[in-house]
Amino acid sequence: MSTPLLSVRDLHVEIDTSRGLLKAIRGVSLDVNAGDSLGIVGESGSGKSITLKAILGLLPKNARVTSGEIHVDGVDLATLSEKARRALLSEKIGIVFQDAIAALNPVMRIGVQIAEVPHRRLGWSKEKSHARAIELMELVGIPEAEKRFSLYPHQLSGGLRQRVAIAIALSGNPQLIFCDEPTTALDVTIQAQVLRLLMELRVKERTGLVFVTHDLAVVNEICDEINVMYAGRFVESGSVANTFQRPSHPYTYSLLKSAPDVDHQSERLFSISGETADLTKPVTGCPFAPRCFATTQLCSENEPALLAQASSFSACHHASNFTEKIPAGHFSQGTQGKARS
Amino acid sequence: MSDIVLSASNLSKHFVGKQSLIGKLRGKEPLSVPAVDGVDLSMPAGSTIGLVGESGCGKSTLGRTLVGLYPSSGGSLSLFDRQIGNDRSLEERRAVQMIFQDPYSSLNPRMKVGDMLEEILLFHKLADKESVQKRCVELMELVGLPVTALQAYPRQFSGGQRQRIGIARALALEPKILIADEAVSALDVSVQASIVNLLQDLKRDLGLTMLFISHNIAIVRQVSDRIAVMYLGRIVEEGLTSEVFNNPQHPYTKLLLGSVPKMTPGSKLGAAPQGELPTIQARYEGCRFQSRCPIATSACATTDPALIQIGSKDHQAACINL
Repeated sequence: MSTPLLSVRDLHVEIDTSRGLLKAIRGVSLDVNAGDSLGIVGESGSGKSITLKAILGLLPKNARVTSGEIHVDGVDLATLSEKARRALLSEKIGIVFQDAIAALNPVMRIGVQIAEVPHRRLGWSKEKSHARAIELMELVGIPEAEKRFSLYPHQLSGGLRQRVAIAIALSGNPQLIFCDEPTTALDVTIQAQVLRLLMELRVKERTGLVFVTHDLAVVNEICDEINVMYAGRFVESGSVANTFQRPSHPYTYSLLKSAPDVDHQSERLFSISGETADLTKPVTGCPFAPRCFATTQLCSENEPALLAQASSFSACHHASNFTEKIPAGHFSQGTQGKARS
Repeated sequence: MSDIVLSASNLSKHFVGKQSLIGKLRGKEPLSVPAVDGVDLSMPAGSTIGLVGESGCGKSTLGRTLVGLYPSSGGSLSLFDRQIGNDRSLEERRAVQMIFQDPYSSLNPRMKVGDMLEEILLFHKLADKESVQKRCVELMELVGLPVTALQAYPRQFSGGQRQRIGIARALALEPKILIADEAVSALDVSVQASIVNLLQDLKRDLGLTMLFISHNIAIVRQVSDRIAVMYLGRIVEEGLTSEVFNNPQHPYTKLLLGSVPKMTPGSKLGAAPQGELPTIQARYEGCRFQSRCPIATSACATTDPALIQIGSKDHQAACINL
């Protein structure tokens, strides 16, 4: 097997907060190969975005990677100088953030922003970079690219801004694109257009995708693999097809039950009671145990590791039989017409 | 028949821009933006109507005009078969209440939850000094918050809890109709579900009628008895939820529903409407959707389609090519 484009091993991140030291990421590992499409889902505060930022070295000042290894295209980032690390990351990885207006320079014409990477980093001539920018604008579906080249971000609508952000992410021909909730602020119609664009890139250019979102339906549409994150760890990893059909972690199961599906109308949605774990306090046992329907004595004593199950990896002591422990009526009324378990 | 609690007939809300002195002297018409432009909508008692559409289509403006936050600029509104104007009585205002999208900015950060509710109850004379405390406790129980919440400030709560406070604030006025404008859009999936369930329970227990405005079509499907689809200030399709979802008629509805990501394994996104919602214009020639419509004909450029009945079902759509 060839070296993965991105390989992360046992990543730990801590953040200094006013409430004390917060262990935001507590051991995350992942591999991404060319053409892979990997989804990371979880609630706010589960550590999805921090994982991406830690890999890219874009953590806020009060946060730091405390341990773990990150290899990009086989190169260990820890062995590189700051400058070499940045050069490698910006060559291999493109980034699309949720908030396109904040990611764009407000006083720079959009065409110039797209042409900047080919011109400055790849050392292309002005004319060649300009032509490349126009090409990219057409690729991401910005109509009248030549005319729009000299517009400023504020003159564009939200959907077009996000396309500009994607064009910039693509401008250095990255092998991997990180997307952090890229469509959350967009209308469903525009979201569909952007998602289709990302899917096309994956097929045409074999670009790898890491897609962070809280929307399970989006993951179902565009990802092959899913990682469910809870309290700074992956609690379930597997193929989207298997995981959606037969989740092997109670948290994944509950998330799937609480997500509304446009294809089905149910009387009642399931809601996960309680709050996410406070990571400023030491974790004893399974962090999901207080909110779990299948919890036992064992769960409050030992934190389960991510282990292989029948169809995916799951960090649950009862991964193989938790569905038997669902109390009668627990998912009542919310399950009609949803044959997912 | 009086099982319609709130109905709008040809309702419109035009935002008129400021005019320069020179413009005035030249006799130019001020810029007018018809955010809501001739909407007919009836809300049957006890039902939930889901209002969907892209941002900028006028959903929120319609909601705010129904509540009375914006004066209407044309058409009429009737509440329990009585016409209501832009000057609403206290009683009329109480009857229609709103739940806002952002639970962070819609609450006064310097006021304890209990003080806020007391102020509302006393002003509207829904309680006196003796009974007000008891009523506040009741409201907290109704929305599933502990009584201690009354002594706390909004910043001490999570997003979901704040939205519950927003709901308590609306319910304090004993409304008949709730307008929920993107009430769960800012919340996490699991919290979203609990607020949606709370709204459903309250609607049933208190006999409320609800307009649920959201761009999240999957959520709307879960909560609504009827669906209204809005495009550039107009309702282009309206009907029973099952009818509209299983048998969409208007080309816009078809494209909108096709672009919603699905949970079904192996699902592939359908075709989305090309381009984006155009800016609202002061006047339209023909159908508003023709620029993005896959089935537009030359007749669409001249005919402004009205909502017409589809078959024998409780379902209407505004398209001349049906």
